[in-house]
Amino acid sequence: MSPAVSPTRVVPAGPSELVSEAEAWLAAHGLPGRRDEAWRYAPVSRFRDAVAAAGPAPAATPQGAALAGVVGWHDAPTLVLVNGLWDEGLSIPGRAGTDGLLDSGPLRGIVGSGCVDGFDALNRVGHRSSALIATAPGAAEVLVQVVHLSVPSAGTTVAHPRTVVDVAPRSSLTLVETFVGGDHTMLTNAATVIRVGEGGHLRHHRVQVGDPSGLHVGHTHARLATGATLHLGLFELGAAAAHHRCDVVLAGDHATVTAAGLYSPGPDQHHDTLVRVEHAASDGTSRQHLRGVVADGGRGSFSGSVVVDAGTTGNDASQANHSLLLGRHAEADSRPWLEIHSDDVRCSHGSSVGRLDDDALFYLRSRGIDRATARRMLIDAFVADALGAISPPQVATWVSGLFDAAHREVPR
Amino acid sequence: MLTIRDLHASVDGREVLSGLDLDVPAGEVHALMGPNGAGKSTLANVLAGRDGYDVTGSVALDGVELLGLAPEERAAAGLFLGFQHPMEIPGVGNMYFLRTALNALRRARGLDEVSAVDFIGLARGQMALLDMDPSLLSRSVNDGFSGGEKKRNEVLQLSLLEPRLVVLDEIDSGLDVDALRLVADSVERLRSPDRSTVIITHYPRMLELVVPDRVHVLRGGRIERSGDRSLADELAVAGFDAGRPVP
Amino acid sequence: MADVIDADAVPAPQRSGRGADAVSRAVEAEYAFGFVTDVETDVVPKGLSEEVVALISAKNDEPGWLLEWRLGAYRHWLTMPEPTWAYVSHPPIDYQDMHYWAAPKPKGDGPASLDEVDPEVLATFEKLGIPLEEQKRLSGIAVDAVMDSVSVATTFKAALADAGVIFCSFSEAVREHPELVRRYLGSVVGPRDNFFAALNSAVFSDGSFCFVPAGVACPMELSTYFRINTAGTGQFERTLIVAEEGASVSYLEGCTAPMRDENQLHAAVVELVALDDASIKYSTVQNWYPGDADGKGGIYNFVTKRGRCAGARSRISWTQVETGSAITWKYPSVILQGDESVGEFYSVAVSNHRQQADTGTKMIHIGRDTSSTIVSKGISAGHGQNTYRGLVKVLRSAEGARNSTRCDSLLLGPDCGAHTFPYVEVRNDTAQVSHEASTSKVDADQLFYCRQRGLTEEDATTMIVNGFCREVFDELPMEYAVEAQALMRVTLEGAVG
Repeated sequence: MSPAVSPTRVVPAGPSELVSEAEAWLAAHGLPGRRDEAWRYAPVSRFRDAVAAAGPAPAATPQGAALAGVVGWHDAPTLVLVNGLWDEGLSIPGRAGTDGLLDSGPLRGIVGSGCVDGFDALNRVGHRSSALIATAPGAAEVLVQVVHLSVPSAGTTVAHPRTVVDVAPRSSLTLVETFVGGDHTMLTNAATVIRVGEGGHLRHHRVQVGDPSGLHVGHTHARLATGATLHLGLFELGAAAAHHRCDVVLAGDHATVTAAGLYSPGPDQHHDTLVRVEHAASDGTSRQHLRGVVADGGRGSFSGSVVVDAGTTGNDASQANHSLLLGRHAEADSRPWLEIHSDDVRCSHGSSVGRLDDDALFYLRSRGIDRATARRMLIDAFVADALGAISPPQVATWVSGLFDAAHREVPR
Repeated sequence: MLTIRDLHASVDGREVLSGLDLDVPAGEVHALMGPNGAGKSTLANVLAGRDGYDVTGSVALDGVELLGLAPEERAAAGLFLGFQHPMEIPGVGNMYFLRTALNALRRARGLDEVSAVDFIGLARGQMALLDMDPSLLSRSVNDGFSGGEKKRNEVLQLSLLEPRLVVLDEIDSGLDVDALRLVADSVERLRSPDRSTVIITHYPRMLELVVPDRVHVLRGGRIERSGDRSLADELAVAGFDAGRPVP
Repeated sequence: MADVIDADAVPAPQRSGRGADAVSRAVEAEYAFGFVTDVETDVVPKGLSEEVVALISAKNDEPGWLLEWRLGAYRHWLTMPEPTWAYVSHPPIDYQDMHYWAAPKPKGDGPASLDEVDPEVLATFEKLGIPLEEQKRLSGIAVDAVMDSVSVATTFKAALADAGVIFCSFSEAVREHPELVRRYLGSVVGPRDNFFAALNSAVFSDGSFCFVPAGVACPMELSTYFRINTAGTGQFERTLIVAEEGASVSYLEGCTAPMRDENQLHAAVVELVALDDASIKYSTVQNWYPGDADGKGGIYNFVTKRGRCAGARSRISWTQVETGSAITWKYPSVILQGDESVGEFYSVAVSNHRQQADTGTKMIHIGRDTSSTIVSKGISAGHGQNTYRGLVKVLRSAEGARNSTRCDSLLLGPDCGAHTFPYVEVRNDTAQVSHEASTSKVDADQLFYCRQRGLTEEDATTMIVNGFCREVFDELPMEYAVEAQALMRVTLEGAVG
């Protein structure tokens, strides 16, 4: 029987020239600061301080218990990486292996040559292995999970987990990528690189549910060929400070990307999500639907960007970002941006910030529903779009549970 | 008046009209009926010169070949298309739009332009006949109009612009009985020896109010049957499949 | 052509001439204000230094505190980098290669009355549609006419003075009302605010000053007409408008410049202050020379405009129609400090040929129950680049703040660009902020509908574009609305088809 998924495997650090390129980039540009537009809403100094103080995170051997209760196993082959290194004992093999070294050719094709910023470059320089998920051409839909566990040790540490996803032409993959663990002494600096081949289909749920005191920086790069489809589910449910930037390039005609998700900073937490979609070819479709539920004392930021390149035609892009503020000291930022260089387009965006609708709340309570339940109902309604888009159902149920757990309301 | 010969039209390589022939003599009202997808709206669009169709054949209005002319040149030649779904144009005042169109046509016909003051009188008179709220004149073109208001606005334009050939594409869709009667009365009122009318409709009820001289059934991209008004009655009872040979 | 004017929406202009002028100018289909007036001009030598700043101050007979204020701004400016974040590009500006002060030479000791103004200057303004002589004046509008660095005449001063309204050139205000100038100058846009505001603070020449005392509704529209004439000069005017408790005023600004191959810098500062229950409406039809079709020449319009709703229930409204300039860098803003104060920004910006516009607004909500509205319409054609950039910021103190933003962009042709860069920053959970935007080309179905009714493609497009801008034009005083529609047609000439 030929495997639907050619081995999910862990490979040693990427080709050396990719690393040396990133080193050169880092030497030239350094780490970003507050004046960099992309970091305008991020607590970048906390990330920089962590990098400055940190040694590399050791290859720890944790108890499997650290994952229980957080990670949903979904009855799927699962790779577990601890501080960026493969942990065979925790992984569930199911058609997974560690064989073979990836040759640099295809990897380079996915990675491209530029770095988005200093943290992106730092991941390339500092990562010790990559989780590789690759499908065979024409392979039928399959569900795979990668879990990145960050384990603190003495002093400040930084881990550089890295995942490479290569969806072959006309194949179909659902990937759940989960980030767990860490604490205030630890920065998880992740990168995920995605290629979807012609007619390929990827559903990628990225679930950041790190320790509420932790620091998280993530970069996702995706490149879509002709007729490819990418559905990104972006969920920020943990960490004290999280910044995730997602760059998608629609490189072939008739490609489609949907980036939908939810960020849910609790008290004293700050989630910063950036999504940039570039329509580099014609007749593409992109959708960005991000919602923020911000607890009292929390801050949720979204920066969306649609770029339609000159010379393209028939592109259709929309962005929507809605934030719900759940307390006096909840804060939200929103930048829904459009950068359009072609007249043959349809683009729209909308954004709103507000709190729960008092009238709706009153209406529910007048029907005998207590205040807390009424609030809960309205919040659930607000996030229904984001959570409802998750498939398969067992993953949807799991993410909803994580949202409920992460988002504990402070009574008013 | 209107002479259509061997008219072919295709969209994205799919042929919708396949060698259609049709004659509408001056002064007559013809009804064009047919099932969904028969090409009725395509014919209306092709006559008016909408982009997006590959067209061959001949369409002559009073001996003037229309194919190859820009939409506004066809309008100047006397063609008026009543739209099934009239466009909403936010920000453009309805009166301004109507007067600009009227004066463009008057210029093309070598007539003097109508002043704003004269125009208001003219428009108000016609609107009264159509039982239209005068405030519709100061709103944006069709913007926020109800379905009935839009269709009346089409008929208002028809009466102001005084075309030679009137093509009404499903003017009866979405109208209640009273509105339908008003529209039908206007069409009857606008009948004249030097004006021809083609009523495109899916339902026979319009033809109970406007009596057509000829009725055509459009099917498969060409005129399948033609007859007098009794054909409409027959279709009303038996549907479009009646009388078709069994393949 | 006359049909461009929406006679139904805009009643026939009461003032003879202006509307008809706009129409006939439109027919010429080129920049109609590109002539140069041959008038003897007094210029300060090129370059910028403390000496030049002192010389400008001396030309205006300024008190010592103002010279110190200018020098402070100049010294700070020297330490500032030129901003690079705007979505525009241009060759570096050589700040030593321009004149910072130029003025038509007075015939006598300075024009105490119109009789002493050079007839050439009067003729210039008449040609621009702004007659200044008593018998020809525009009724109902008081005009301050500024050529290069000085105000040449202000009309209706006496009539306004009867109502208690001070309306005069800025230099006159410094002489006659130093205490008011000192109290409010820099109170909204500080001398170190940004690169171009600091430059302006150092070298600003003339401009208009307006003070409407408590309880007075200004009896007529106030207007300043800015004209750049001399080659190689920058224009750095400063406008200050103060409306005391319960006062109200509507102010219009127009601007033109000759056609030249060189780029000329216009770096103005406008400050508005509204106290309790006061209302200021500020309208601009910006028609600086945009450069030729290949992008040669034109004005760099780098302007700081900001209003402070200092008092409760005060209101500041900006309306702008930006059709000119090679580059526009401009963000008329409102600081909503007073409780229940209201800020508005209505904008149409057009970029054709090689024009670049980066414009928008900032609404800073500080007071309780403050509200703001933003309506922005951007039109790009040719190789034009049009950017909306706007900030809505709700501070923690701004209980019950409201903002509604609508940004639409229209693209005419495959080579232009339309960009929308909003920033929304909310620090209070009782705020309600919404932003909506769209970008598209002219709707093909709308175009077909109009053409079926007999309109040419160009007329149909102009009509649809004007309809697209209608919401903003409706905010303009009537005669400006007429002019704005005519300008749209001229600006978009050749962009269709």
